[in-house]
Amino acid sequence: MFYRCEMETELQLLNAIRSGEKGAQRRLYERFAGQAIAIGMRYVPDPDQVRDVVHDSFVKILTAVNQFHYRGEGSLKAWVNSIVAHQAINFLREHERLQLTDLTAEIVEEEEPDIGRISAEELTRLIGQLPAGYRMVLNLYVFEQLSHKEIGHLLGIKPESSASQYSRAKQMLAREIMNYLKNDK
Amino acid sequence: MRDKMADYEAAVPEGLWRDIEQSLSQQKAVAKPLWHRWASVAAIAVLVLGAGWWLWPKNEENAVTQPIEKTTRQHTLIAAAPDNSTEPVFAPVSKPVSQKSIQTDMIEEKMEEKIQETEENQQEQTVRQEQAVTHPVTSTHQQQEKTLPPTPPAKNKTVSLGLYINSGLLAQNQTNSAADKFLSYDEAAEPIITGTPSYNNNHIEEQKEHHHQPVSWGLTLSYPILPHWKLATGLVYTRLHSEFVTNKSTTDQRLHYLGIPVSLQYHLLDGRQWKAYVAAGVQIDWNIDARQERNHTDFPVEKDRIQWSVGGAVGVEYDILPQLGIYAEPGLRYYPDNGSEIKNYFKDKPTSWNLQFGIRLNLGK
Repeated sequence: MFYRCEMETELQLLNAIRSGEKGAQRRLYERFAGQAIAIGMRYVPDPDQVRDVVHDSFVKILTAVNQFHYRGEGSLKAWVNSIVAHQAINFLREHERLQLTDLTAEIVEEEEPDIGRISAEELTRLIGQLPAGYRMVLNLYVFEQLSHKEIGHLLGIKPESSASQYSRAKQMLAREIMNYLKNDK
Repeated sequence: MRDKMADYEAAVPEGLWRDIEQSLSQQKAVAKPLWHRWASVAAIAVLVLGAGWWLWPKNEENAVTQPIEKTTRQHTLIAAAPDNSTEPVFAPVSKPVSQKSIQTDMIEEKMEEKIQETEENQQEQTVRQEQAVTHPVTSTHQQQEKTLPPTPPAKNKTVSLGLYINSGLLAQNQTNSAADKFLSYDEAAEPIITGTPSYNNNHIEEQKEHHHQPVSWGLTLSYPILPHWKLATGLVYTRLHSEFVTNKSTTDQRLHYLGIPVSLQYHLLDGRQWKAYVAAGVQIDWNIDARQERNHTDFPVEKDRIQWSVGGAVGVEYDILPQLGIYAEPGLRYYPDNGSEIKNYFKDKPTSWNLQFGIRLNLGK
């Protein structure tokens, strides 16, 4: 409708869903689905599996939306994203044996690649291709902003293992990005 | 990198919404009613009691001979009443329906029913036997029983089936002190929200842990091995609940354990109604499920390793009926570090007090 050119606020959307307004659930889905897919792809490499993860996430979100505590604009988005991330983590824990990749290679400080030159889409793909342990720790540390202590707790590993997985993951990703940029030239 | 990706939206596969909508409407249809859980608890109780009834030796003849023997002794009046009550109780206790749940109020209700039934039976029997008992058996039989000498060791030869709930002691105190911590933490956190960003960049993370008292439900079987000594074993379900609070989030952790206890009881007092004993034993617990919840999502986490523990307790049992007693057992338990990374109550407080309440079915000989 024309008068809805300004974007509905999260609170308006929530109220619409809670009052049972037809189509409100779908609006929530349409608003966040793209991000949800992007998050899923960072954790789970297979597109069909990403679809499953996002499907289950939205079922969860829409069933639990009445228990969600609104804490200002942006909190709904953060909540939705965190559910997708956890759903993906769940999925990985159940389907992919979490193996900590231990390439004993020395960690050498390489130059940081220029992230500005790579698209978000490509970056997502590269992260999705990292070995399981790297991928998980990198996602949790960088995107979920968990501490190594929390990651250790979540995955049942030592915080130091999480930290070393992270630095190796970072190094590997940097190399991948460099390669990509080189080939792209 | 995080900022770069923050608003990235990938292409959404077609038909996804349709599937979600479908799942949602299906989910509404299959919401599992709560009574299902209670029904399964009841079914287990019925099974246990049914097995108990089946194992029960049916020696009706004794019911007649025993009282007569006693009446030839001095205390005709006293002995006849409780001994009469020993045998007829078979019938009412055997009704599995009367033990459907562990809820105490229900049990109390049923107890009353049973006592009534018992009394009815007693009266019937008294009439039938045409004993020299002139007074009908009344509810004062409780008092009379107290005056009886302790039961002979032969009476000890009974297998007991028990159901219990076990919880940490001093729960009140602990929760309060932890709540205080949370409160002061919240106050400290307030400036972050209202806008002193310097706090936000602080990389030292404070994680407050709060471990709730463990709660266990158990099923036990105890068997006399020597006079005064009983060996008990069974199956215990334990639930541990913890909260981890950081500046960013609160994580709820629930661990579910299934354990096997083995303990020895030494009976100090074996009265007709009151029993007192000391017990010591070991328990081995397996973590069957480990979950965490954060931001309304729950996800499985790494399971805990096998957890051993040793413990001691003193117990007092009161038999409402000769075949049915209630008991309380305060005890102390020690959980050695099992070396896992999981944080739980056992790691937080390796030595802790607990209190067990339960009912025991004494399957008599």
